[in-house]
Amino acid sequence: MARYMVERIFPDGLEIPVTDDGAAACLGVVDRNAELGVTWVHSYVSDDKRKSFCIYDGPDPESIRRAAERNSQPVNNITRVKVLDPYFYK
Amino acid sequence: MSGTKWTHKSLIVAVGLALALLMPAVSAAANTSDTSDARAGTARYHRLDAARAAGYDLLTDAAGIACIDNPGVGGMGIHYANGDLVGNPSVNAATPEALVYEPQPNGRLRLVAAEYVVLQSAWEAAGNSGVPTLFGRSFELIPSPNRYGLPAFYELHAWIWKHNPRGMFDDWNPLVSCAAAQS
Repeated sequence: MARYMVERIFPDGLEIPVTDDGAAACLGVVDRNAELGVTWVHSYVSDDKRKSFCIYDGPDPESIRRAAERNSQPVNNITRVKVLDPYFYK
Repeated sequence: MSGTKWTHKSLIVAVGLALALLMPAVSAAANTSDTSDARAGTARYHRLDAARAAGYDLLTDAAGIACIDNPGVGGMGIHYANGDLVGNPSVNAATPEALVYEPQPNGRLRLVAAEYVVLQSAWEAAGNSGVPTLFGRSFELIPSPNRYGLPAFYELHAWIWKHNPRGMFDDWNPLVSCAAAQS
């Protein structure tokens, strides 16, 4: 499976409450992604919460876009990426 | 002029270093692909109730301790193991024998790793020789007796849901703590 970085812009900011409801919302994303063979690894969110950089595993960019539609998430750019870190996962 | 030559040498060294860094990165792509199978297979277990429903039960050591850590080195967390999978000598990235959760200050458990476990006796009874491998990594043999009161087993951790500065497949993660479990 390939890895992608998905850039999203939220003009009004991304607000996920740190509550049970917020946790349920995130887990709902996980479930809907799984229906398309897409896995959300994690995301980085800018300080102003208007932009996110989301790391996904998935079969292709189209699956990433379809998952975003199901989750009502914007998609501004998708880039296929590879992991590079000091350990190269050994 | 000599400064220019030095600059060129530096550039050559820099390019060489960059290539040296990138070459392992390309070879690491295969590992990334394998761990993506592990993530896809375990994403649903961010919900602990889903893990329990799938047969993963709380595992404690022989002293009854659930959250496993190694002060000064790192933590593992709380293991939930699937007895049926542990008893099976096969190894599948998408179906780890155990799931590892880190206790959070809010009382929740965060899925942080998968652990692959094969009993040595089952492995050898299935006609295997050598050591099980996954993600291009060899399992570690944990002899008996051990703190879990288990017969000798092979194991491999994969920190697929939380970064481990010691490496993806190290047993201990210094970013994982049992402090919340003890409070």
